[in-house]
Amino acid sequence: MDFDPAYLVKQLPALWRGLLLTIEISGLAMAIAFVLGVAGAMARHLKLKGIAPAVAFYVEFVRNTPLLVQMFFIVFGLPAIGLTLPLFWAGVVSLALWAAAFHVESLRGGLATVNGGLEDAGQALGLARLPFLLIVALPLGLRVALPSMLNTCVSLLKNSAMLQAVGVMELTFVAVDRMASDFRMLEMFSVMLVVYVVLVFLLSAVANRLEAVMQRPFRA
Amino acid sequence: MLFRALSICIAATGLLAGAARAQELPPLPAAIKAHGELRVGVRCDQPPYGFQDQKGQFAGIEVEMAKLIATWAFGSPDKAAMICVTAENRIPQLTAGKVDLLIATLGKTPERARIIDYSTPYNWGGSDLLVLKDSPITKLADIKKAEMVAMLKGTTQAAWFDAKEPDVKTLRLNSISDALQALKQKRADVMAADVATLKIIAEKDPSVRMVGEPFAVSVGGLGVRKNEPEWLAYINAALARMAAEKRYGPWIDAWVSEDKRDFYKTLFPPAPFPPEG
Amino acid sequence: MSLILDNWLLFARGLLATLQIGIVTLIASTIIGFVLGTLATTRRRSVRLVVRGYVELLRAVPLIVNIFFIFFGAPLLGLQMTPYMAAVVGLSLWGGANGAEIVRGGLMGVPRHQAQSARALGMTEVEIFVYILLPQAMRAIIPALAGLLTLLVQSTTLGALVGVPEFLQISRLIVERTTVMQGSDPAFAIYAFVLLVYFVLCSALTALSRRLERMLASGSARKTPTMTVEATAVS
Repeated sequence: MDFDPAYLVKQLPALWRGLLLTIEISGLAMAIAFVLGVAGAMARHLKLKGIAPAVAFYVEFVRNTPLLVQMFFIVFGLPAIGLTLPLFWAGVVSLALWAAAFHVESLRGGLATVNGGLEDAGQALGLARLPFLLIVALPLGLRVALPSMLNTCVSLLKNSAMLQAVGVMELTFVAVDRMASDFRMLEMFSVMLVVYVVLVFLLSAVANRLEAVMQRPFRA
Repeated sequence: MLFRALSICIAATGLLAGAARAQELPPLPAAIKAHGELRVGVRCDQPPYGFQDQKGQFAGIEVEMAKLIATWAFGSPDKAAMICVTAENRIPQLTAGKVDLLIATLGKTPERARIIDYSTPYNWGGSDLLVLKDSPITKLADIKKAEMVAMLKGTTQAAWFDAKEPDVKTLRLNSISDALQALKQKRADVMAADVATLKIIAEKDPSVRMVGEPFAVSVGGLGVRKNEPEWLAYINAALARMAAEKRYGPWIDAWVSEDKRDFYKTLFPPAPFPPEG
Repeated sequence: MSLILDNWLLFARGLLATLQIGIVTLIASTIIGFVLGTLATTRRRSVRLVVRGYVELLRAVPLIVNIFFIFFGAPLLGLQMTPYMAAVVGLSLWGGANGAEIVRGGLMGVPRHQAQSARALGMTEVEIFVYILLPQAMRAIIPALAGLLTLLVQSTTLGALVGVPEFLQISRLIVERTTVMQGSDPAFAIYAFVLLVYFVLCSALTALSRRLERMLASGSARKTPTMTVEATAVS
C-alpha cells in the first residue's frame, strides 16, 4: 500500500478537529485532577474523619480497575441511574477522576517528607495545622511530588486516546474511524505516531522546565 | 431458543439428501477443503443476525447460514468454525486469512469492494431514524434540525451521512446499545440505524419512535478475499441454493419475534430486493 | 443479579481469556525486559541508545494506538494478525519496555563496589552478572514485575477495542444482547459488576506484589532500593 499525500490532505481538517479535542479534554482534565488531587491529599494528611478513609479507598479502587472500564461505567452505566453528563464532560471527568487518584498518592508521599521539626516551628510561630499545611507543607510537598504528578499528566494525555471507545471524536477516533472505513492505514498511523510523540515530548519538556524552576530555591 | 435451533439443524440435515440432488454445488476449492472446516467470521453483537446466547453459543440467522454452508461443504453443521468479528475488525480478519468467509451484516460499499469480493446479495436493508417520543423530528428532511445523530461506526448510515449530510453532527459508537443509550440520555437527539434493528427496539421501548422514512438502502453480501474466484462461485451457488430451498423463512421464525417475522421475510430471499441508493 | 448468574458461563470464559493474556504477556514482557534491561547497562553507548529509543517510543505512544497499529498495520509488513495476537504482541512490546526499565533499575541499584570487588577477585563479566549482580537485583525486580502484572491485566481491556473476547468485550456483548433482545437497560449493573471483578482481581495482585517486596527486603541486611513500576505508566 502506498502513502498517498492527497488522501492525507483531505483528512487533515477532521484530524485537526480531533487533535484540538484531545488537547481540550486533556487540558481540562489535568486542571480538575490537580484540584481534586490536592484536596484529597490534604484530607488524607489531616486524617479527616470519614473523608480520609474514603479517599484512601477511592485511590485503591481507581488504581486497581482498568481506566477503560471506568470510562464505560461513567459514560454508559451511570446514566442508567440518572447521572448523565454530556459526552465531552463525561470524558473529561473520567480522565480527571483517574489522574486525581494518582495525584493523591504522589502528593501524600510529598507531604510526608515535610519533617516534624518544621511543623513544630510553625506551631511555635502560632500557625494552626491547616494554615501550616497550606502555606508551608503544601508548597514543599508539591515540589517533591511534582515529577511523578507531571508523569501522571503525560499518562493522562496518552490515555485520552481510550475515549475513542466511547465515541469521543478525538484524534485516535478520527484516525481509526478512517482506517476502518477507507483502509488507508499508513497515512493515519503516520499522523498518530508523529502527533502523539510530539505532544508527549512537548509536555515532557514543559514538565522538565517546570521542575527546574521549582527546584531553584533549593539550589546552593 | 437452543432447542429450536437444534431442531432446525436436524431438519436441515434431514432435507439435505433430497436437496443436494436438486441443486448441485460446484466442487469445493482445494484450499478451503484443506482446512477441514468452514472458517467463518460472524457477528456476536447483532441480534437477530449473529449473537451469542447465555451459554455463549452462536445464534442467529447468519449463524444458521454458516452452519448450512458448513453442512454442504464439510458434511456437518459442527464443521462451521465460527469466530466473532466486529464492525472494525471483520475485513482485516478476512484479509489476514483467519477466516475464509464473512457472514457478518456486511453492507456493500465501494471502499470495501476495493479490498474484498462480495457474493451476490442475500439480504437488503434500509436505514431509518429513531427519536424520543416527543421529538419534533417527524420526517427525514428534519435531520438538518438535529443537534447530534448517534450511529454505529463504519456502517452504511455513517457513509450516507458523510456523503449526503456532512453538516449534521454525528456521534459514532461501537454498538446498538451504546447508540440507544446516547439517544435516551439525550446525548444525541436522533439515532440512525438499519430499519430491522430499529423495529425491534421501537417495539420494546415505549419511550422512542421511528421516523418511518427509509433512506440509504443497501444490500448485504458475504465477503471473501479477492482473487479466489472458485470459492466465490461456490458461495454464490450456495446462496442461490439457500434461496431456492426457501431456507430463510424457518430461520426467521426461529430468531425473530412473531410480530416482526413478516417484515424480516421481506428482507431475505425469496423476497425481491429494491435498487440500491 | 440474575443477569450475571444467567450469563456466568460467558463471564467466566471472558475472565479466563483476560488471565491468559495477562500471564502470556507477563512472560513475554519479562523476557524482553531482561534482554533490553541488561543491554541498557552495557558500556557500549550505541546499544544503550537503541534500547533507550525503544523504551521511549513505546512509552510515548498510547498503548491503544500501539495495539491498533499492530492489528491494522501488520498486513503492511506482510504479517497477518488476529485480534488476540495483536493484543498479545502490543501488550508484550509495551510491557517489555516497562520491564526493561525495571531490570535496568534493579541492576543499577546494586552498589558499584560489588562489581569492582568481584572484578578484583578475577571473575569474568558474565560471572559477575550471573553470580553477583542478578541475584541482588532480583530482590527489586521480582516485586516490580508482579506490579507489572497488575498493569498488564488492566491493559488487556484494550484488546476489547480490536475485538478480543476478553472480560470487558464479553460484558459488552452481554449488554448488547440484553438491550436489543429484552429491551432492558443493563449497562449500569453489568459495568459495575465488571469494575468490581477487576478491583478484586487487581487488588489481590497488588497485595501479592507488596508482599513479595516485603519478603525479599526482609531477607537482606541492607535495605534494597524500593522500586515499583510507576503505575501511571499505563497508557
